Amino acid sequence: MRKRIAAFLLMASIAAWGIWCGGQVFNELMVVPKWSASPPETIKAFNEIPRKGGAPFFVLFNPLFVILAILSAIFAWKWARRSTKWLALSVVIALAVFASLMLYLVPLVGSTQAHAMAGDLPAAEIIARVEEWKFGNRIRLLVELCGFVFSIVALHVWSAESNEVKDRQQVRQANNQTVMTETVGGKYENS
Amino acid sequence: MKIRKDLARLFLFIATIYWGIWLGGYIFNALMVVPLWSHNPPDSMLSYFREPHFLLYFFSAVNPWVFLVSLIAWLLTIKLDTGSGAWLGRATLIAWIMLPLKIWMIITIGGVVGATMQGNFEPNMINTISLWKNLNWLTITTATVILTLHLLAILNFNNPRRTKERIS
Repeated sequence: MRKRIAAFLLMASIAAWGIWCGGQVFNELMVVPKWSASPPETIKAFNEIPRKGGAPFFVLFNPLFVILAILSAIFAWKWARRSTKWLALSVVIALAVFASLMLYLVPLVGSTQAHAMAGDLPAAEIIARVEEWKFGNRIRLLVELCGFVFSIVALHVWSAESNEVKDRQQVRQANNQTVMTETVGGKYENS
Repeated sequence: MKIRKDLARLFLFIATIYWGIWLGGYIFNALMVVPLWSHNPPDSMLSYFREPHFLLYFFSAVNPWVFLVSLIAWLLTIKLDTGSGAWLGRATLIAWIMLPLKIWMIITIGGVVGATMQGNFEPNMINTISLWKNLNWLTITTATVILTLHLLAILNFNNPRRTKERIS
């Protein structure tokens, strides 16, 4: 049962990694260029577009992929041998991405947009901050994509070795049964 | 056969990455971008699409290739002793059934945006946008199933193929 939960969590973790990375790729290619084309004017114009409905992608999926990466590693660890390094890498990258977002990128872009809307900073300062954020965001995106790939490798390696572990357990059980038969029967026969 | 198995594994990985990116991009679009331009057409469309800026057009970067990569991955698993073939077959079948719908959706919404930008927006286009939004969520749900089937293919890649002989 626990192995099935582990397999499910590993798959859910990859799906969450994929959705998170896909959203970030979309954001980087299609949305960021729109508001960062000519700051601070484009930031103002973008934020003034009225919106209705929808849901905050970042708030929904950022905790989800981190939690699933940690949970899947915890549940899968028992059967993991060579896959431990991939599981660990996936968790470390998820945590690093989460920390870089919460401690650096989100505050930077939030304050930059607030200053652009308020108009209390020179345009050159806003442009410099936007460029700094874009550079950091691209590095984060590359690291995230590595985390996504590592989580796929982890599932692949883990599925192979969890079967090996199962086979080894079956062989061990069969050997124990043979020993018991020998002891109980008092004669040498291969059960 | 070893090279073919390695290639099948490589294409299965690429297809899974592609479907993950596809799904994430479309979910981001549906949650964060579509509400911006669709809440009050044609004004909201005009204000959003007036100055298009993008690094690379996401939809054309993923759409033709994701279907092809899945097909190649599945074709490579044929005659291989791997349990992933059946899962990939199902995923590819569903993806290629979805493809005409996706093409129709791209053409339809492109037509609506084009007409709006040229000042030819018609009231019945609101219904088209509404239909497109519902179908967009349908394709997102379908892509979730397709991605799950790819993940099951990875999970079963090292298992032997389930044949009738083996089952009996």
